[in-house]
Amino acid sequence: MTGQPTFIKVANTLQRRAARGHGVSLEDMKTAADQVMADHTDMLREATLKAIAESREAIAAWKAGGDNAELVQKLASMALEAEEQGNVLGNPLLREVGTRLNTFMTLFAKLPPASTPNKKAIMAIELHLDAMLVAIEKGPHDAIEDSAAVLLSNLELTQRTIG
Amino acid sequence: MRLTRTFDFSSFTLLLFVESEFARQLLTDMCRALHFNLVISKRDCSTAWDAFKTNPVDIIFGDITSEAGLQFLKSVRDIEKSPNALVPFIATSIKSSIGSVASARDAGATEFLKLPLSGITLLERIIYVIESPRVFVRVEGFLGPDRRRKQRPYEGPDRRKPATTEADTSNNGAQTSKPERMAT
Repeated sequence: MTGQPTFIKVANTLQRRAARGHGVSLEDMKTAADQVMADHTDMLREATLKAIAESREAIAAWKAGGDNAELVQKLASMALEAEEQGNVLGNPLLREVGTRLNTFMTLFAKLPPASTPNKKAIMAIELHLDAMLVAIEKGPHDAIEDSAAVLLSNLELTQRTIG
Repeated sequence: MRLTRTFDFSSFTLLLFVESEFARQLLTDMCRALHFNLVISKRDCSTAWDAFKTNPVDIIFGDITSEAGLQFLKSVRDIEKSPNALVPFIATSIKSSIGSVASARDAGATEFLKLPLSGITLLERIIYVIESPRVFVRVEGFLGPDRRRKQRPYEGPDRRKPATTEADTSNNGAQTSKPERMAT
């Protein structure tokens, strides 16, 4: 192969095949695809609400003397899922809260196992969970508005204060 | 895009390679809603490659957010070992930075689709690759679609000739066999 480019024309067989048969209108296809998106958004809402409830139970178990490693694993995994779902479903606030909670849990991971629960740290985690609820209620959106930006700034401030 | 037009995808086979379980399930369900005959979805490079080798795949959706997706795209475009190096490859990503788009383009992606997506953006990309297949360019180390959307003759002076030679302005278009600078 020399440095000279070779141009290869591709036979347009897909267009011919797509024109065969009865076919479905693009309008119907669009409606069906958007319905799938809406169904997944609803599923996300339910799944995240369940994950938040389970996280609160894990916090309660930790307060009662549980191992903080278990709490870290559960919340870090939940935060990553929230980040991913925020990306895929168009919920930048959920994505950002998930990112921040995950960062916070990496700090937590450095604590020795079965360490004494810290009230401020628990409050910070709970603030992140509350922020996730706000993001879920907000639903899909294009950009982070001013009020949401203030919420994220407060989460960062909380993390810095505790850190 | 006129939404009253009809298409029949019932003979098409799609291959989805998306690592994120959530994104893979969403894209799979959306494509099934468009009445594709077969939607094969894989989460890792090796099983996606096996599926590509053993099925008559018409269109690939590949998540290039991670390096594995880019490697898969490069393997698909490897004319020495790929069963169909010219297959339309729609690169998906949660990132839309210039770097991500450039990486997809340089690896030979046909189209780029940023997540999150809607029904209309998904359809637009599919219809585009079906109706407007691009000419492929093969040069050393690269096989991929020609990025030029329009074929235009070069209108400036021919700088390849020695300075002492008079510019021949009568041969507009003579250089069109050379690719123009790639557009993103």
